[in-house]
Formats: sequence, C-alpha cells, structure tokens
Amino acid sequence: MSRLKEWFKNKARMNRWEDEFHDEDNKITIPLSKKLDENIENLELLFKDCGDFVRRKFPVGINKEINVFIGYIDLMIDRRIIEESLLEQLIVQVRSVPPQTDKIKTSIYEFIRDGGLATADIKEVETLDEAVLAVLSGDTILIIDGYAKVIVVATKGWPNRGIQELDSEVVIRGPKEGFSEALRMNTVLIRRRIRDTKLKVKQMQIGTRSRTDIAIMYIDDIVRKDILKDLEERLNSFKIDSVIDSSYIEQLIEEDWRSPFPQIQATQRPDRAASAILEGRIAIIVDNTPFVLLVPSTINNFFQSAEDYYDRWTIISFTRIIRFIAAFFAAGVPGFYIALTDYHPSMIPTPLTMAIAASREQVPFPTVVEVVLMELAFELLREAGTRLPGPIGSTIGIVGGLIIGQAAVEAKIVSPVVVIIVAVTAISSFAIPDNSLTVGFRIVKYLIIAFSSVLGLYGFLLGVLTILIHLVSLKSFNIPFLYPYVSSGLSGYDDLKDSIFRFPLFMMKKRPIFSREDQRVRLRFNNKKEE
Amino acid sequence: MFTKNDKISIRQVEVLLILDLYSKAILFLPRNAAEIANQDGWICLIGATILALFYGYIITRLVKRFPNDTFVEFSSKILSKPVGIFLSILLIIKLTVTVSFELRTFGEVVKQVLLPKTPIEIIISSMLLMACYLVRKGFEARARLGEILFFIVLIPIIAVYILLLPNVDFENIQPILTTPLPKILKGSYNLSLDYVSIELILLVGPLLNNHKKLGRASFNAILFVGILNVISAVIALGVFGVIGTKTQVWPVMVLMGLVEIPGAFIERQEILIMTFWILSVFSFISASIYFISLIITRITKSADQNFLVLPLVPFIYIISLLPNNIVQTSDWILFMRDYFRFLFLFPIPLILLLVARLRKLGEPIEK
Amino acid sequence: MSQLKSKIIIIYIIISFLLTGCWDGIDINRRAFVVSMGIDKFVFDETKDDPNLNTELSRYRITFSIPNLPKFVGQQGISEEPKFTRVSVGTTISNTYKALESRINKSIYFGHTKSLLFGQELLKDKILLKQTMDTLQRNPDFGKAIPVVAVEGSVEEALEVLPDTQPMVGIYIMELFDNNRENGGFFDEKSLGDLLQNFEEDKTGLIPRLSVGEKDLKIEGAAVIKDYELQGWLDERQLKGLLWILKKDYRLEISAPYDDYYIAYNVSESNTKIEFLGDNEEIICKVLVEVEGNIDEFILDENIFELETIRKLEKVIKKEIENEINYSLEAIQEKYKTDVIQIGKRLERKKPDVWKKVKDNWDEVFENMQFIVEAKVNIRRIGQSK
Repeated sequence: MSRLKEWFKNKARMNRWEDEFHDEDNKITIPLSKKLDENIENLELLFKDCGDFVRRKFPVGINKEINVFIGYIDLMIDRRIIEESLLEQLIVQVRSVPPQTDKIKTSIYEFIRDGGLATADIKEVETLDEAVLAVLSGDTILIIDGYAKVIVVATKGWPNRGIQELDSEVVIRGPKEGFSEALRMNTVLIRRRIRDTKLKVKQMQIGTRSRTDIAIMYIDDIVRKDILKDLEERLNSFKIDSVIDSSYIEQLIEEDWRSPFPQIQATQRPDRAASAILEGRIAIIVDNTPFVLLVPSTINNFFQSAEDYYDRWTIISFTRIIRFIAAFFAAGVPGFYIALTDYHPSMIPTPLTMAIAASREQVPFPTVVEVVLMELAFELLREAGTRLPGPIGSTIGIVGGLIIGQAAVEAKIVSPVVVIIVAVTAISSFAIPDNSLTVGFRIVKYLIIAFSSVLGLYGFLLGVLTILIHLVSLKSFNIPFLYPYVSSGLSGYDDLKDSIFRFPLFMMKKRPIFSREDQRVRLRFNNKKEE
Repeated sequence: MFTKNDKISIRQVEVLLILDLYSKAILFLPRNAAEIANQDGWICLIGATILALFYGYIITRLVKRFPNDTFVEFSSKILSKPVGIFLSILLIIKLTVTVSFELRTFGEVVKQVLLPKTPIEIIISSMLLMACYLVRKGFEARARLGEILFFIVLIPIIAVYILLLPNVDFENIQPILTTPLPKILKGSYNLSLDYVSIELILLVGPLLNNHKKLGRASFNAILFVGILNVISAVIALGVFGVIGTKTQVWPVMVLMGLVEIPGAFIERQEILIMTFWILSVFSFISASIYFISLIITRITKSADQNFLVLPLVPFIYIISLLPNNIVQTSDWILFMRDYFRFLFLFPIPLILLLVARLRKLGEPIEK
Repeated sequence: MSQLKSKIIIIYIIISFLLTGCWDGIDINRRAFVVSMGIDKFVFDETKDDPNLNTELSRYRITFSIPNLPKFVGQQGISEEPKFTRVSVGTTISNTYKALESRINKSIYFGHTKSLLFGQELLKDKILLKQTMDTLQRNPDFGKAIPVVAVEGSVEEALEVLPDTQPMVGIYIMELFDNNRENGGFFDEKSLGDLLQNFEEDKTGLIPRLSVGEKDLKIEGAAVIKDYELQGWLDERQLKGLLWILKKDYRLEISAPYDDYYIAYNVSESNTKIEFLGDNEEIICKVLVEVEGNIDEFILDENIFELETIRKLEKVIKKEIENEINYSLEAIQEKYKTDVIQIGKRLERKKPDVWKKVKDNWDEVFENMQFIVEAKVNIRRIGQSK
C-alpha cells in the first residue's frame, strides 16, 4: 500500500518541476546567506556544467579586506559597462579613497552601492532566484561579503539583429521599421510614437523555465478596464514551461481554439502596434520574437493592411472591397464551380457550358476529385516554395505551376478549367493581407467543397451558412468577431465608417469600440463647430 | 458589457422579424392574392398589412407590459398557471406543426428546382441540423446572423424587382376595384394570416435590451414586408396577368428567372435567387426551433436550453414527412391556417392584454 | 471525453450519409445538352418507321438536336459533324425522351434548350397541343423565356439545316429572335412563357413561322391558333399590320409610294393606343398609331428640306401604315375570325361592363367589329443630305 502511495507521489512529482533547489514554479528556493563563500558555493552548484558562467571573486579596499564577487554569462553582457563602470570603480577608485575605516566597515555595502558603481541602472535583490534570473537575463550580479543582498547591474548586451526592414507586411508608403527580438527595443519603438505618460508598460514573466519577459502596453485612460482585466486573468491562468514565440501565448489565451480563424492579431510593425494602442487595444510584446500580439481583434483588423490609413480613402475603399471579394473567392470558388457544373449546368452561359463539357471529355476523374487533387497539389507547391531559399523557391513555384499544370492538362488528367479555378482561388488567398486569416479560408474551402459535391448549390449554401454561423458566434475578448458588420449598434454605427469603405480621415473622428466610451473623440478641428 | 448575456438590440429584432415574415409568404403570396381577388389582389394585401400592423400593435403592448417574461410566464400570471401552461403547450404544438410543414414545403421546392433526385429526407434533415447548430449557439448568434442574411436576402430581391419594372404591363392590373368590397375585406383577413410570424414577438421579451422601441421595430418590420409583398404582387400580376399568376405554383420564382440582366454572367438565375429564399426560410426554422425549446425550458423550468434542441429534431422530421405530396401538404397548411393561425395572432393576445389591464398586472406603459 | 466521443460519432454518421449520396451530381460531360427540340405529331411514315411499331401508342415524334461538343468548341473530336439530330417516338413527351436515353450514352438535359419547334401536325391536333403545353409548363427545366416557333413543314428537316454561321438551329433561332427584337422584324417574338399566358387567357395565340431554306432558316409570318387548334398561316404581309398593334417601338421600315418612287421610312419609336366607342354589341374599335422615324431613302434631285414636302411625305406614309393594318385586320377578322391581337382583353380592361355583355359571343362580335385605323406619322430626321 505504501509502495502504491510512493508510486503515486513520484508520479505526481514528475509532473512538477520541483526538486531540491527549485519549487514547483521552477524558482530557486535556496536563501542568500551573509557569507560570500556560501553564496558562491550555491551558485557553483546551480551553474554546474555551465561553461558560459563567468565568475570572479576579488577583494576591494585599500587593504583588500572586503571580498566581492561578480558573476555574469559570457557574451550576454556589454563588457564595457562592467570593466569601466564597475570593476574600474571598485578595484581602482575605491582603493584610492582613504578609508575612514570605521564608518566604512559597517556600511560597506551602501558605500559600494552608492559610491562605487558608476552606472545608473542598479537594482537590489534579496533572493537567489532573482539574482540568478538577472544573470540569465544578461545582467551582472555583485555579491559583497557579509551581506545577504545582491546588487544587480544592468549590462544587457547580447548580439541582436537590430531594427531591420521588414520583408512581410510591406508597405509602399509608411515607415519601414520592424520589431526585433529584444523586448526593450520593441517597447522603445512604440514609446517613440506615443509620447504620453499614460502609455503604460506592464511587465511580467511567463514560462517557468524560459522566464520570458512579456510587456503589456496600453494607454491607461483609453483602454477598457474590463478587457485589460480579462487579459491579465487569462495570462495568469496557465503555467507553461517556456514561451518561445508569442504564438504560444496567443494559442493559450484565445477564446475558441477549435476555430480555424485567428482571434488575435500579430504584427511586426511598430506603427501598426502604436495605432492599435491608440485605438484602445492592448499590445503584448514578447521577448525573443518580433511578433507583437494585438488584442482584441475583430475581422476588420485582419483585412486591413498597414497602409490602410496612409493612402487616400478612394483607393483604400476600393482595395478593401477587392479583399473581401478575394476572401469569398478563396473559400467559395471551387465549391461553387462543382455545384454549378455537376448539379446546375443550366446556370452557366451556354457557350461556356459547352466549352467546359468539351474540355472534360477524356478526363477520367469526376469533378470533385479533379478539384481536390489540384487543390492539394497546389498546397504542396506552396509548402515547397516556402521551404526553399530565395529565388529557387519562387522559381519552383512558377515552374511547378506552369509546367506541371500544363502537362496535367495535356495528359488529360485534369481539365483546363479546373486549373483556372484553382489558380483563381490561390491568388485570391494571397490577396488577404493577414496570413493567419488566409489559413482559415484555406481550410474552410474544403468544407465547402465537401458540401457542394453532395448537395449542389444547396450544399454550397449549407457550407457557407456553417461558416457564417461559426464566425457570427466567434468572439475576441467579448467583442463579436464580425463587428462592425453585426451588432454595429453597440457603438452607434460609427465603426461602419471604417469597414468596407474607409471614409476620409477627417470623418473618422471617433475611436472604435475597443476604447472606453467616454474617450472616443480623437479628432477635432479648430475653428469648426464640432458635430 | 456586451454580449455574454444573450440580449439583442432593437435593430436586430427588426431584421429578424423581417426575415421571418418574408420567408413565409413571398413565394406564394402573389398567387394567393390573385386567387382571392383577381387583379385586385394587391389591394387585399394592403388591407392585410394594415390588419397585421394592428395585430402587431396588440402583441407589442402585451409584451411591453411584461418586459422580462415570455409568453409562458405572463400568460400564467394573467390567467392562472394551468391555463398558461395549456396555452403554452398549444403554442408549442402549433409551432412544431408549422415548422414541420414549412420544412416540408421548403424541401419540396428545393427538390423540384435544385436537386430532383436527392431524397427529400436528406434535404430536410440537413436543414434541420443546420438550424440546430445555430440554435445551440444562442439567440444572439441568430440575431447577428440575421443582420448579415438580411442584406444577402433582400438586396437581390429588390434588385430583381427594379429590373423587372420595364416588363410590367400595368394594364394587367386594370380594371381596379371591380371586386366587391366584402370580398376584399375577407381577402385581406385571409392574407393577413400569412403574417403569422408576428406571434414570435410574444416570446422575445427577455431577450431584448431595450423594450421601449419594440413597438416601432415591429411596426417598421411589418410595414416593410407589407410593402414588399404588395410590390411583388403588383409585379407578378403585371407580368403574368391574373390567370398566369394563378396557375403558377411559385410565381415569384419564375419572375426571378425572367429578369434579363444585361451582360449577365449567369443564366437561369432563378436558381441562384432561390438560394436567397432558402436563407430566409432557414432563419424562420431556426427561430421556431429556438422558441420551441425556449418554451419547453420555461415550462419545465430547466436550466439548459441547448440540451432540448436535439431531441426536437426527430419529432419535427417525422411530422414533416407525414403528408404524401405537396398537394396534401398545402391542404394541411391551409387547414392549420384557417383554424389555428388566427388564434395567437389576435384573440389570445387581446384577451391577455385586456385581462392584464383589468387586473392591473405588469408594468404600465408610459405613453 | 464522452462528449467528444459523441461528437465524433455524430460526425461519422453525417459523413457516411453524405458520402453515400451525390444523387444529383452528373458530370457535365456526361450530359447531352438538347439545344433545340422539335415536337411533332406522329404520322406513320413508311420510309422511316418500323412496320412493327405500335401506332396506337405512338403519338409524338420528337426531334432532338444535340451539339457535338468538341467540334462545337473547336477542338478535334471523334466525329466530324457539328451536331447530332435524333428522332424518337413515344406516347408522352417524357416517354419519348426516355426512349431516347436508351440510344444515347449520355443523360438528356433540357437546361440549355434554346428553342422549341412545333410541327404543323401537332398544331392541328388539339389534344396533343394542350398536353404539350402543359408538359412544357410543368417541367421546371424549360426556361420560360425560350423562343417557340411553328414549322410549316417537317420539324426534322428544320433541325437538320446547317447554317453557315451557327450550326445549332436552336441558338440560330434564338439569335434571330434577338435580331428581330432589336431591329424590328417580320414577326412577333414569342417565348414559351408568353405563349402559355396567351393560351391560358383566351386559348388563342400567334406563333412565329419558321421556314426552311438550304443553308439558313427564315422566320416570318405566324401560325394562328384558336382554341388550341391551328387555323392557318399569316404570311409576312398579313402579319405586318398586326405587328403595329402588338409591338411597341416596332422598328421596321415602311416603303411608301410617292409619285413614281418608293421612299423608305425607318421607324424609331411607335406606340399604339386602342380605344372603344359605343356601348353595346356594335362597338367600334379605334386604333391610333403614333410613329416617329427617319427618312432613309428619298429622291436624289428633289429637296426634302421643306416643310411642305415633309408634310406630304408624312401623309403618304400614314396612308401606307393604315393600309397595312387594315389589310391584316381583314385577314384575321374574315379569314380566321380569331382575336389574336387581344382586343378582347383590352375591352375588358377599358369597358368592363360592355365586356360582360359581349364576352360570351365574342367571336361573332369580333368578326363584325368595325375598326377605325388612324396613324400619326412624324418625320424626325432626314439623314445627311437635303
């Protein structure tokens, strides 16, 4: 019986992260001691087999009476800060100060802390866990003998890609900067665009092993507190071991995991993130990834490209209409084609019907099989094109498409019409600005094909209805996903000004529904009566 | 703040009403009108609309008096519990039978026009399952879907009407007013029964977030559908003439097929336009199923409405397959219509309203 | 877990349902598109028919015209012919085309039928015609806007003709109809829906007449149907007058005699009003035609640019129009005694009480009705020269 208990205990234990030194959240439980040597020993234990942990114990003071210990991870720091501001001060300068030994002796810690370090960013921590976390984040720790406190000096300086021009989300007009993998750089990029003290940067850590820094940015008086609270609750509702990319967080906090459609938007552009924040949305920046999450997101956010506000309203309205049509085509065209040709050929104009029928004369497969075959082949091509580097990838795409398609037609495996259908579908799916939404349509397309192939136009309708029903009940943080096409009364129909058509900028005076109700006005003209 | 509480806005109520009313009548209405009063059928429709507005008014007053109750609750309050429950069960039966026959008619139309060889069971059951899927998502999902379907359904219809205007021979409607007045009145009454979806307002009380405008909403909805019906009757009469309109089983559909859109890509577009009609029927069916399960929930005071939806499916399915063919279906629908439809449109709400006023129940409405 | 399981079970059921199905889906190349159909009464023909054929059960002889798809589209096909014409015999129309399906390896489809041809014998047979019209109305596959023509001769011959510009006779007819509608013409376009409506209202109708040439087909004149029976044919000239009453904006050309010459007047707009005078059986029908048009052909030396000349021309044209109409009215009144121009319907609308009195012996009344024809001609444009 007790063996069973043992076994259960061990089994349970294996699911947690605790061991002698760590608790269940993977936090270190060893306390700091006043004795430097003990601390050093603990650190050695924790960093056993970590060859990149650099440590140095050295004495300071003219008489070399105080022992001080520095630790950092090799190459994660900016060594100049250590050497110039830290070590030089401690080793050289402090030694040159004539000691008023009595005073100093009792408060050596404060002395070193206040007078011996010539950097601005210094923190004190009192647990080993925080100290170790600091080291692992690129800071340097300074432990002084006789004190159970650790000074953390900010020295972050690991190699970084820096701010580069984006290769996706490209615009013709507008800034070209993109987020990088460093959290602080990203928050800076947003700070530069919103110089308001009400822009808050709330930091937290998620991930018991990765301890990834996450920053939540929002504008305090515009954001809706209920959404903010909801977000924080969701972030606290899980414990994951690591967050490698913001998509981990996205998938864990989204409302409907079963849906093929995304409910949280991700962007690499700082200007987009800043605009979103100014609308009352919240940006979630995750360390080590340039993709920033924007929350809440409705369907319009996925249909807008970054230039939507930088160009003028006529061209943008036109482009948006095309995008919507493209979305519909990307999901519906193959199904519609099957429904028409197999079930209701009377709807197709006669010459076209004859042409289609003639071209299908020797094709061995039924229409459905043709269409699905070509669609799958296209998906394969797409995958292949993504994996291959640079020019080879795009060439394969063209070669594959053209030649294989042509050969297939001539071998009478597929009819030329189907090739056109599939091509139209694929091109339409590329026209949707946001990739995550495109995936939704790509999957849904097969559902519609299935329905259409069995029940014709009625089936097509059922398929479209299914998707509509699903979309209509989808919510992103309590806002209907299809807002403002449904329930637009919720904010007085203003949001329709920015949906399919984008009204001229001077008409868009109010913020959308993401913001608090009393903070809606964002544009006002001088010398004109406000409407 | 929003939408987790299943409340819908006034605009959504209006839209849903329009969809529900539209689906019932629009295909057959010109034929019914022509059969009743020949070329003055459209006048009967005007009369029918006026009557319908009146019914709507009474029902709206009743519902506004009891803002958070459905029919089940306030009928129990007004006329004692057993009577209330009895009436509610009557309503359930009526709704179930109506929806079954509507489903059957729908299936027949689809089978005839779109899918001649497909067994009607499949057509009916697929529509039924789809409606259940929607119902399970909650009434709010239905309202939002309604907003989208509204545009999809009505814009093509209106476009078709506009395009048909050149073909309309207004002389076909002459001579005006040769039918005797009693016949017109009777015809108006008869046709007003086609506005039967109004009774659904009885159940919609607790779902609204703004009761004050309910009257306006139902007025607008009924008026809108009424005008649409009149126009469609006029156009049908104008294009086919009286006799032609009488013989077609579904005149509106043939109308849609006659439209010549210049440079059109699709021929025989009546088939495409049928799909829009299917969408409005879908709206009505999902509404009925929702309300049936709602009433049952309220009667049995059970907490979970979604649970009851699926068991309803076999019932409705079986009932819808009972008639042998469309002639019998049509007969049975007529039977239902003559004896039952009126019940919940007028007498019962009126009685309830009067008794409520007498007994000073519910919240009085400020003028 | 059980909720997930039950969902999966439901999905299995649905999928298996769906996969067994596809009841209606027919691959598009497995359909035989009947582009035009010629319906005629069965008459035993020794040269063609099997002597063992059961003549009692054979009532219809229907000709189906099906395109040879690859050739039609321009590709290499198995056969060189652009179309196939098949004839089938049967008791009812459905019966007949089902019989055809036993000979053709594709599924017959009427969704793209572009025109219908009625044979002369069919039109003479009241019972058959009634049944034919009913089938065409009841079956939803036949679009109600397709043209119908009456063939004076053999339907099969008509469908075998291979016009140079368009091999399929059905489409050719449809295009002729379009031509007629846009450019004025020699017949009144009748669609299936129109014809059905005519028949339902007063059992009479006019069906355009198709005559067969070597390499083309001509449509002009009409067949007069009264009470579901063919009464006779109106030739081009007899029909022309009626077209003034039947069509709005009848854009045909009038050749009016003027001194020694004939001038050409091309109508751009026309409108006909019909009024009734009198209150009893001796009603007089007044036909007022208002016409606007251009002079297309005049005389080289003479000057048209004077008001007087214009007035003279208008008079001449007016006379010509009135003659035409009177000539046609004579034909239908005396020869056929059929109200094909729906005067009765207009009387019903304009003077319902009079209609009540006369509708029972309308035929007689119509035969003896007096028509006063008046035309009002306006010459609007005269072309480029004086």
